Amino acid sequence: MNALIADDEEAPREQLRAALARLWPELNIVAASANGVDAWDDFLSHEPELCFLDIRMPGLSGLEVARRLAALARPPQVVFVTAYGDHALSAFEAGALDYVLKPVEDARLAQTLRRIRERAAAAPEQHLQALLNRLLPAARPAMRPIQASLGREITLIAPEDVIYFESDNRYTRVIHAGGEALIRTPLKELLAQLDAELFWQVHRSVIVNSRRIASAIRIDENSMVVTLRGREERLPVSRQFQGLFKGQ
Amino acid sequence: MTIISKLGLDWSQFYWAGPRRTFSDAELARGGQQPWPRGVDSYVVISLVLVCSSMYSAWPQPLRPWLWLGVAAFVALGLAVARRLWQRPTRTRLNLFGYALMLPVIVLTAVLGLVLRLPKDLLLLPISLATAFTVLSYLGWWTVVVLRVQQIEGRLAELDEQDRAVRLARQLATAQIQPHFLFNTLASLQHWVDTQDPRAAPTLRAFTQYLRSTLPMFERETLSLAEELQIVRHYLTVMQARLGERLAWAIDADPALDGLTLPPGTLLTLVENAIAHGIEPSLRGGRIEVRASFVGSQSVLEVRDDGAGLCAEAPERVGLSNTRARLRHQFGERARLTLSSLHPGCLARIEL
Repeated sequence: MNALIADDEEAPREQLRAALARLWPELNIVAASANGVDAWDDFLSHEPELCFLDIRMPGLSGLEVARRLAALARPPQVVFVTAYGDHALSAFEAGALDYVLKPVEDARLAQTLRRIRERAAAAPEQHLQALLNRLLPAARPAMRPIQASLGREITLIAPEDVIYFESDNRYTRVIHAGGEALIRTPLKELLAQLDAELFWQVHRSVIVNSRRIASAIRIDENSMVVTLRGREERLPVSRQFQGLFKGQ
Repeated sequence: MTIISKLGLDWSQFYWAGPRRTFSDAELARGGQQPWPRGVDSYVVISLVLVCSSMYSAWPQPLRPWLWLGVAAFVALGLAVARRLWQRPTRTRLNLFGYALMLPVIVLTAVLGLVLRLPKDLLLLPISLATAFTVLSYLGWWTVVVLRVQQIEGRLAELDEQDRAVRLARQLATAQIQPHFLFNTLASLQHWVDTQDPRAAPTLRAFTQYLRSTLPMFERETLSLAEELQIVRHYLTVMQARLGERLAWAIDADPALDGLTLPPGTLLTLVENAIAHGIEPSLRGGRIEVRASFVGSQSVLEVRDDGAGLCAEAPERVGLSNTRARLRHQFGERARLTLSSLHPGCLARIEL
């Protein structure tokens, strides 16, 4: 089994890694992410079956990452790692979610790991998403306009005018109603600022304004594309995100 | 006799009645400021007027004008004494007033009956009435004293309880050693001890010093700026070890301000906020600057960060309203605590 560890502090991250190596030597740690944005990105590139998420992380909190994970077609199992005093703790207990407290104790972690192995084959928990929705604040503060600089000129792009964002090496291409622009903020960081209801990630390197999507077309068993209102290009939908388009 | 003594009777109550509890001036000022219930006045006056009217016809003709005068005197005296006892309800005063009332009645009876030899049928009614009024007054006073002592005692207990709760809340609010900070630090320390990382010893030392320097916060009303900065320094040292390159910090304080006294934890709260809302939520981390200086005649304390923090006062920044209230308590209205956005970051500024 593959696993991902995310904690914004190095010592707890490494402590967990060491404890996992002791208690579950066969577990393969594919990524140790230093914030929520990296955790999400690392998940998309490795697709581990198990994620250990710290709650308080910059970029995306552990709860926000978990909510994105829960929306996927095949969500991984999630174990929250948290220090005493988190308001979410009682909700975890009530919702029977897996969590371990920092500093991580071997006995407690072993117990959680046993539960995870038993559940590995079972269906994903349906209630996770509902619970996370309740824990997370309803809306992020409204996003400020995107500032794209070209030479001496800085263009301000209202978020709702954006048609889609596309990752371009270390930059992000912004295709908007008034043309195209290149910004320096990496896509994965931008993701954390965007309203997830409006902007849908359909691919590791593409985020689309859902109001601009005209249709989703299945090409074959594995591939899907979306078409956009008033534009020619088709954007790929990777397998992970195909669950977004189910029909009603 | 043995049976009676076994009953535990307090014989002194027979000739010197009333509760044993007495209150100091301070206790009375604190728990005994309730006003005299005015309703008692009307009740007493109306009752006595009714009683006297009903026996008016039975009253010997020559003494009739005296009846009203006597009743008025009794009422005025009885209520005046009751008010005094209300203000300071003690057994001694109750009994002094009681005997002071009884003795003249007894003496007057003796003089009128035995010395002046006034006729019995003339004396019987006034004397009985005077005796009845005396006993009634005394019973009234006794009731006032007993109830009043209980009332003040209850009020004092209530105030003590309230004080204890306030003190405890203040201590907890002051200490504000957040469990989250405690356990996250312990998690890092444990890992570094396990792996014999060189960061273990200095971090443990700074953490211990932090805890020790926060102890006076439990006991004292104020800390000097120098002490407060020491706490902040230990706190930032611990956070520095935990966050590594994500945190940079500096403290720049005018030594002339060292003696400034502050409510404990004032600066620490601002620095904790800068960490929690500025540095920790920022992907790249940031820098915290603590500054204490004179600007004109004012002392100005500043905590600025260049992190991701939304500067608007979010409801979770409970520490701030608490800090503001404590500053106002110590410095009055001239104390100001303001937050402003720095783009990026946040500036918290205290002017005293």
